[in-house]
Amino acid sequence: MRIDGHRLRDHLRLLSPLFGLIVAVWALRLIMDLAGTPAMIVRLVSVGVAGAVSVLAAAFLIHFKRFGSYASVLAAACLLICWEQLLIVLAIAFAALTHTANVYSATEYAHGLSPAGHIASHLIFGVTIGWVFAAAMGCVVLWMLRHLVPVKGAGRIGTPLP
Amino acid sequence: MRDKFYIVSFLLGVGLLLYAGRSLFQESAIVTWGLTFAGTTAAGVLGMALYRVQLELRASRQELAMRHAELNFALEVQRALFPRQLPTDHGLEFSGVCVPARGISGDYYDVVPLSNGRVAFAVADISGKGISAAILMSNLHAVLRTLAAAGCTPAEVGARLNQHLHQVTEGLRFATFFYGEWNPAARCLSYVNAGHNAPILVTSGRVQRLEVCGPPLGLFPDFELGVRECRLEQGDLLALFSDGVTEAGIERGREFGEAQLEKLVASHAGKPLAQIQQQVMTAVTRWAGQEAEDDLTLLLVRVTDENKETP
Repeated sequence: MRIDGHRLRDHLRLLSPLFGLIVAVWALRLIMDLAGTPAMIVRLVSVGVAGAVSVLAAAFLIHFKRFGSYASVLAAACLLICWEQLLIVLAIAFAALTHTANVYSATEYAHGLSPAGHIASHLIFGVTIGWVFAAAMGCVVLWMLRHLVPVKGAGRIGTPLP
Repeated sequence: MRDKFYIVSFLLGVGLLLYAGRSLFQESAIVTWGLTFAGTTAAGVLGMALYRVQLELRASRQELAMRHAELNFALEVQRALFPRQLPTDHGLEFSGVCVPARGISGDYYDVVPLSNGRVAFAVADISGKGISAAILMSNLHAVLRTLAAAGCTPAEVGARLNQHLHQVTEGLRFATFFYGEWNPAARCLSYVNAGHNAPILVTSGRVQRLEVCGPPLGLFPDFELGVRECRLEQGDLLALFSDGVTEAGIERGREFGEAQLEKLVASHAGKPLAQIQQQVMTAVTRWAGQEAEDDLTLLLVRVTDENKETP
């Protein structure tokens, strides 16, 4: 399967540090919660913000590495948002299966839904709406990058990674 | 085409999913996501703008450094065009200085010992300032040296330089020009003055001016400059200067003026040339009160007691 002239493996390799960033924030949030850090502070360590920042960084990477075009941004947004939502779903599922509570399964985020409903809502809305926002942001950022900071000799689109 | 396909498929998929899970929808999530992504986009755009500014600043700095280096190189080349050592024989002694207003100069002075035992000296001021004037100045220098070496008379030098300059600049630029040829045996100075400030001659304490013989070079395609002659005695002092000297301070509404220069040169006429030069330049700089607005050129010539003609 090729997206924008690159194999999925190439996209994953490009985004690997960003996957790491999301995992780090997700784990930090979880650890802080388990360690009893006040909720005000835990709320500041947001996986959603980490996802948004990752998509922003992905647009920068795609532009400056001359990796590809808007299709690559869409793919990056999809992969990063799916990864973010997957981690959140894992945390909720773990809490449900072990009958424990953590920051991801907190009622303020569950909005009164059952664990299954909460997971379904993340998988449906988290992925889709998250992707829509992330893709829109990534495309806007890429468009602005192309106008504000054009990369020299960036005539060809879709140059494979070395 | 492929991009469009991806986008349409993506939007269709999103629509279907949202429709299927509409009962699980939380409106507050939209607001949270919207704020998160809008804030991130704004931060990204701000970062981009700052990066762009940084890039432009860096490019400007590099360009400025490159131009500065080029200007320094041009200045070095131009310094080499001015005489490094002024001749002390031929019954004349010289002292010359040129202070460019914009790094490099459109003014010019030269002293050329000739093969017939005579010595020629010249002062010119190219119209305009900066690089364009300096390029014309170097061109004038080369042609003048060639003509002088070929044994041309002052009238021929003036006429040919005029033709050359008019041809090169198509009459758009001009140069005021003084060219003198000193015959040590006859103690006679033959000269042409094409629109240049009349040089000051201090002879036996009296001040005279060497008159202008015609319009500046380069304005008209063809004209003859009348040659003037004057006899000079030992101790006579000739001061050739560009308008930058007499017009110093004109931006502030009061120029240094020829009368003041005449007075200054006459009052110091008995001193060594280097000292007179320093007195004049100090007075002019003090008068202007700031960086020179025009190139300042001063060539001082004094008749000495050595009256030898190279065979």
